[in-house]
Amino acid sequence: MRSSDPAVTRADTLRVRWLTVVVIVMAVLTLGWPLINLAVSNRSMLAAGTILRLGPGKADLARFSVGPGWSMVPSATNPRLDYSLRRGAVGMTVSYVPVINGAQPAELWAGLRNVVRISEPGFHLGPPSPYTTAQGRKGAMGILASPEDRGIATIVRSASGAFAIEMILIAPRHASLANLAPARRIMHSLRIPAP
Amino acid sequence: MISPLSSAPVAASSRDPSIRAVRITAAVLCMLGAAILGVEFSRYLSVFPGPATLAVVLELPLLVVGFSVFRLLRPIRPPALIWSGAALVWGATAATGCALLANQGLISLWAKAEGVGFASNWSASLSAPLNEEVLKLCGVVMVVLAAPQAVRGPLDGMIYGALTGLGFQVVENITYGLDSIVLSGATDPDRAVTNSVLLRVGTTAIGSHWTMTAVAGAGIGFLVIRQSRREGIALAIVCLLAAMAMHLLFDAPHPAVLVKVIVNFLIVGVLYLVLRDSYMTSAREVLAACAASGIVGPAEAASAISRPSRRRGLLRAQHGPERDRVRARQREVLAIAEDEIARREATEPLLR
Repeated sequence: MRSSDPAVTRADTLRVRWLTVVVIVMAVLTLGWPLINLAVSNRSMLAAGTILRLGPGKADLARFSVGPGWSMVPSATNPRLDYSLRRGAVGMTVSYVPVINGAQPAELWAGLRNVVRISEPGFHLGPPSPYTTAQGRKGAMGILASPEDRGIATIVRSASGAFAIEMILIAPRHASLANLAPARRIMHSLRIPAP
Repeated sequence: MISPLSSAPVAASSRDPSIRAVRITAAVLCMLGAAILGVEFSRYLSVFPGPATLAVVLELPLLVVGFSVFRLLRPIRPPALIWSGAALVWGATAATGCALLANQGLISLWAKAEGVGFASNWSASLSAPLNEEVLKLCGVVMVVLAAPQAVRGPLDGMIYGALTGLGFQVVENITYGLDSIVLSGATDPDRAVTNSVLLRVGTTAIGSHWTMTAVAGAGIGFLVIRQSRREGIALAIVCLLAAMAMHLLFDAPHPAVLVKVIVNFLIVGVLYLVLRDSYMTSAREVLAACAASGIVGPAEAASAISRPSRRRGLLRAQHGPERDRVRARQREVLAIAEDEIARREATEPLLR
């Protein structure tokens, strides 16, 4: 039953007004920023031959170069940790991974398989095969597959064993091999300076 | 009683439709926040069930110790358990869930507008203070609206703010622990989680979210209690800006982590001591006045503000009806004293 006491009525009105303020503030912050973000383009074109540096410091920095037609996805890129790149329907992530506890290549591959289950649900990562970059650094490569897409994953460990660079390339199943070649060239271009 | 966010004395009960609306809305927002967190992190539970459980379990000591200590920090008697829990749950669900989406949006905007190099250094420290401090503070406001008796001054606002911040801090620590599994390539998930917890609980815990929301919460306490609405609003804004500045410092690339933690801890510590001293001075004066006017006995007035004295008084009474009568009388005396302290804090100068 509603009170007829004017002080109680005033308190009720104030309470509802403040509650409305709280709900509006929460909605503006929770939905407002993501909506504005959606309205702003998430592509930053990269010039052919651009060299990108990845890693938290000078001592543990990797480099790779991109060919023509690639753009960077700023919202998913942090040069200390990872890059997200796109070229048409082809997407690629390049990640810096600090190696804990001197993990061996087999452990890195098993870890990547679980990371894929988190970051790319629906994909299955196949067994690794030997892989060598243009620099001559040895790593592992494997096939990624989901019902709609396919891709390639690589892991290359630094000479010191302190970190590794993981690359994941994903494209629709209908994409031709020619479309995958530019991404393969990025993978191949990876350079990790000797410590 | 104190009306929501004003100093007009009115009666309020949980049967009021507006109070019910506040409580239902708060529950819905907490469920929404929990659902957002669930969508974002449920995959970790299926892929890394052991490490995910470890991330939760390792935070339990912080949760239990923080909750108990913050409630003890309120002088004279602890805040109501149910509203303490509500503040904690708001911080752990509504605030963290909404902050997740808000931060993703704003951090992405920084990367698009200023470039990924700038964003990697500054986007967190320019986004989190704005989003997280406001979302956490909404929890203290909700406590004021849902339980008008709960926050009766800056010290109450500070305690509820600290509890809200603690809930946020614990859940954020868990999510950082889970993220660290992926960031380290998932080669040793247990160790990644443990390292993350050691860093965040062992190094930064005493200067993290709870300090910031405690300062902002004190502002809500001023807003509730001050008779001059303009003064109350000004103090609330100053406290919120101070909390945001503390957060910006905490997330900024410089200075060293230890410096940030110490600065935040000192700020909240000094504010607490000042407010506590003012509160206790008021309490002693009020009880002396009550004793002088015969409302309470001199012995009651002397023992009312001390927890151990009250406990001794209870233990001296025989178990059963006599002890119940002593307990009821102690509550009555405290209620009289707290009403009068709140009345004083509404009009007296800030620092006495």
